[in-house]
Amino acid sequence: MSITVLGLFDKIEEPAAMVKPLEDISIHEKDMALISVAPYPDGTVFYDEDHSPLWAIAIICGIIGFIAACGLAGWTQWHINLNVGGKPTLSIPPVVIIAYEFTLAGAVLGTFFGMIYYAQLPDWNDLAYDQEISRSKIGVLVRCEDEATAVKIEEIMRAHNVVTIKRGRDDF
Amino acid sequence: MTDNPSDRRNRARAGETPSLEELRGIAARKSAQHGNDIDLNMPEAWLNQYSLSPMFYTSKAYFIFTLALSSVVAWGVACWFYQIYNGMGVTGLRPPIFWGLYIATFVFWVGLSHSGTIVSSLLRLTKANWRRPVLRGAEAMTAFSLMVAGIFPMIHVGRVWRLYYMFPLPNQRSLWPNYRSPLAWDMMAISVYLTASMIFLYTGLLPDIALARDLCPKGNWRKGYLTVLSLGWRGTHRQWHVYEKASTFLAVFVLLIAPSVHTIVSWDFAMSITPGWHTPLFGPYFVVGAIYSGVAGVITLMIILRYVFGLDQIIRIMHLYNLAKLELVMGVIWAYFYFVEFMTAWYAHNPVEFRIWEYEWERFPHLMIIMLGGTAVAIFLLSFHKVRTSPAWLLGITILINIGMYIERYLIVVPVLTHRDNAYTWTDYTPSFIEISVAAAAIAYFLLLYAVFSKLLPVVTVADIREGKIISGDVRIGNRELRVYADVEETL
Amino acid sequence: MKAKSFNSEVSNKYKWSMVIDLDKCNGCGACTIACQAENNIAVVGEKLASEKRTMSWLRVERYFEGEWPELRVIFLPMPCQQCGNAPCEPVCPVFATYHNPDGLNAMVYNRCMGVRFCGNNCPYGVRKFNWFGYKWEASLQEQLNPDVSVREVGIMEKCTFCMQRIRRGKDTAKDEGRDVKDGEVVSACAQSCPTKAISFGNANDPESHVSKLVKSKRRFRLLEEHGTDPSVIYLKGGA
Repeated sequence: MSITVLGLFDKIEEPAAMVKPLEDISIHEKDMALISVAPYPDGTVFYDEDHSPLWAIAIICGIIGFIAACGLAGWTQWHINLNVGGKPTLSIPPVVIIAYEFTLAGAVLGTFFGMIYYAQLPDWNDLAYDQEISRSKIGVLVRCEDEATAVKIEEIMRAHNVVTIKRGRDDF
Repeated sequence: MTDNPSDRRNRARAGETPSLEELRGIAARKSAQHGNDIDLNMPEAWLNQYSLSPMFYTSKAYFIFTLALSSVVAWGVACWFYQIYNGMGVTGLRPPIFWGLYIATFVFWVGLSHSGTIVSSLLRLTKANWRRPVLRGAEAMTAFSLMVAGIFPMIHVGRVWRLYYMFPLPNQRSLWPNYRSPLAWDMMAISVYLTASMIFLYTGLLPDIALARDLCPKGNWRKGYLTVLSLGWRGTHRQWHVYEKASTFLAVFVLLIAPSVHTIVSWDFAMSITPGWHTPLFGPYFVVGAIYSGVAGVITLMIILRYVFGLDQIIRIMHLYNLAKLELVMGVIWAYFYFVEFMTAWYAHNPVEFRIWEYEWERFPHLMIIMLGGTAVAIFLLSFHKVRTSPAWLLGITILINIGMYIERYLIVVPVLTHRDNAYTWTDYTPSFIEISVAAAAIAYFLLLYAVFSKLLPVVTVADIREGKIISGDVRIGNRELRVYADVEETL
Repeated sequence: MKAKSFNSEVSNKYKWSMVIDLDKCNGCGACTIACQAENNIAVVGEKLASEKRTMSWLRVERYFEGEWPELRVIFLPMPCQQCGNAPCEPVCPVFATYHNPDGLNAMVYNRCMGVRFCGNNCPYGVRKFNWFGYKWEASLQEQLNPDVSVREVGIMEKCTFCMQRIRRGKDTAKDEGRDVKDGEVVSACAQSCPTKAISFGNANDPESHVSKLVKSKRRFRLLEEHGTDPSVIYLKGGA
């Protein structure tokens, strides 16, 4: 069980300056998180690239949609086998149209649910957060293993004009 | 009370937030020459107050307005039930005119839905920084106009209680819908577009719902559903990364879906063999008309929001100006398509098509003049800087444009059906009172959806605006101070 | 059932066709009344008829040529043309109309949802819609044909070449182990025409009189440029 320390700051410069002292006590990006009301460009405080395979999920769900469409438009035409207006029993152009729509629908749904999943939502467990963040405070979440490190982190935060400090559970 | 930036900052830091009247008074005193988006000197707390004020401050006029809209909607529903009970004969339809005002209204609302897609997706993808305050309004407009449009197939169908035949539900008789029919494509396309735009709207709303959840006044009844809808969004940098990536993807997908939807709707007409409808031009023509109509709708809506909710500090003249420029371009393109359509019909002189053109001028000269004259006037006036920066002019022009586009949809559906191949069947059509009531109720329904939405969820994209503030700053070049935006590739 | 793409040739014994001789038609309208009696078509009343909402499946179109007193009137009975490449069929989203192996354009009343795209796509304008639920009074219900369903409100309907008579003819022939003979199946309009202007029969049967008429030099079909391949052939050549 790790300990999480949440510190709220007024300006972005303060967490940015905190990165070096935290590194000195061996806290790296994977144990830090920046919580803000609007996204800061990557690297403002530290670099942490996003590795979620959202594009793969979108493509896979798009392909599933495409196959579903071919089944829906294509197979049902062939299955019913009724002659309508001299059109072929399995006419391809309508299948193309339905496939286009369903591929995009699959991609959209895949992206959406992929985003929900990779953003660790829905989050009903009351993870570390403070409502002041919506009033433009910037939150820095630091995770550590033991109480001693936690105390050191709090000291560093106080040295950088922290406004509030809160403790939480393993909130990553 | 002096009005200078440091004074405001001190007051905000002391935890003081001004009343709405004072905020609006300050806004009115700001000089318009700054013209840019958000006043960077506005303290964050006041920005919150301002942008969430539509939600948390309700005036008596709002209740009266909503009540009026609800009664119009109720009247429309009553008319619809009357029609279901008695049959489609209560409309003015008669053979060979099987489609009339309902289909024209349906196409109009689907067209209006292109507003959000173009304004939101296209501007997001091209990283136009001025898009930030208008995104929510545009996306909501898309979702709601699709909700209105989706009702009309139900209304115009002869046997509503058999509508489920259109859905591909497995049944023991192995019957499926006919996917060769453009109407089946229609159903799929509109369902997909509605789903995608709802998802797009909700994704954009997620951070704003979290913001509203946190800034909810104590004991406010909204807190419950806002907490649920926000899904526990915190705003960690990882969440933002995934969110930004997903937003880009969704913007691309919605942008791909939108033209296809209106093309498919146009194919309800173009796939038939009726002279006057059977032209390949209908696909692009309808899409362009939709974007033209949609952007006009967004401008109208933004002006109304500005005025009704006092959001003129956030939705500034510059936004209207840029949207008006876009509208001008779309107007020219639409006029080009209309001219092409007219020219080919007029020159080739197919007897039936030419007769349709003559009939449009004989029977509906007033409608033709409003439609064509309205576009000409709009294009002419929108070329002037003064007009583009005046909300009053823009309101008048955009409403005229949308009236013209509604007329255009009507003139696509009805005159062609009155003059078919078999000259013996040529007849006339006038919409009945029931049809007009239902069409009017649709407009009221749309406005009602919007009014309710503005009280439940934030109408302004606060998170995007904040992001704009983060990556922007004022730079001094010589004697001039200019606003610059950081050219960041990872953020939108 | 075989159907080749983009053409209407169906390999089948029967191809029901109607030949209407315009030189013999005098516009009496007996065909319209016979059709109405045979197929349970609603009588809509004077007001609706003036609003062009009559339900008659077969109408006699009237064209005037010239000025009085050199006025000529041309009568054109217009049933459903039972097109080979029917434009009304592919646009129905629920398969309520399809092409049956006999070359007829069949209606499935139960399946019709009332979208009315088929009505828009018919270039001849022969499709009708039930704008209201038409009712027959109790005593008049005795005259309804039990072989034909009565349509409810919100459904499209049109001439079926008296499908019920074709069915009965084919059933009888099947019971007796033979094909349908020429003249055994005749539509209500053909049966009641006093000048025998309307002929009905199986064009694939080389012995039938219809197949001979179909080859006449006076033949033409309506709106052939649309490629609908109608099964109704008109004859005109005389004065």
